[in-house]
Amino acid sequence: MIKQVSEKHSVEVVPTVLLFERGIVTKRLDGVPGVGLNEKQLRDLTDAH
Amino acid sequence: MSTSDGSIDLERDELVGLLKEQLALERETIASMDKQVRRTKNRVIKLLLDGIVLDSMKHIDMLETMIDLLTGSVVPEAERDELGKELKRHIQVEKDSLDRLEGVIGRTEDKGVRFLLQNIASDERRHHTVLDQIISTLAVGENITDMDWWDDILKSKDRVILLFYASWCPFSQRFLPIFEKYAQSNEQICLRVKTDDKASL
Repeated sequence: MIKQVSEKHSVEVVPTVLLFERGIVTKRLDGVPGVGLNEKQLRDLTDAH
Repeated sequence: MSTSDGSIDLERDELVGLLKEQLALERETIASMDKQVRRTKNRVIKLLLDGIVLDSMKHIDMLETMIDLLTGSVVPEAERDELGKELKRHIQVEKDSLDRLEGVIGRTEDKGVRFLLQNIASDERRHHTVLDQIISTLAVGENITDMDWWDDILKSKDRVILLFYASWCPFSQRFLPIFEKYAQSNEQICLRVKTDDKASL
């Protein structure tokens, strides 16, 4: 299950955030290797739509 | 699926684990009720406790089925048509029996008999709902595969936010509380997906 979802959307790093709108990925946040993700990035992803 | 409480873990293994725990509880219920049934001399009490035992047996079947579903087995197509036809017939049979029961309930004065008949009637009503649901599931030819299961969740709402993380990853560890906080302060559906299992990645 995890494999299918992450492969379908080519999730290659953790953490990664996908935003689905009615089943379709409209935005994504791939963690930067060695840095990760921060709160601002999460807010920007979900607020600006 | 409850999502109002913010983020939930959709680890299937976890769900299967919970179902298995419930399975154990139902088995305990059967064992302890069985003891009481044998002890008591009162027929009505015996009967009612027996009912609980039967319910628990049914729940065991249901739980085992859910575990099957989650671990991958589905209804083959040939079986599906046959089953659908049979269930529709059964719905009618139960509806007739419910009408009859309700007639009798209205005309009896005996409290005990009324109570037991009402019990049967409520079972029949519940069966109706369950059968209806099975038929609609069969009608769309639903094979609950992993991917469909995910698609259903993702399509069921306008916006779903999915976080992939690994518990061994320090950046995931740092980001998780941020994600949790966001999930709780937000109406949107936020789900976490743990990708620890290297073999499945």
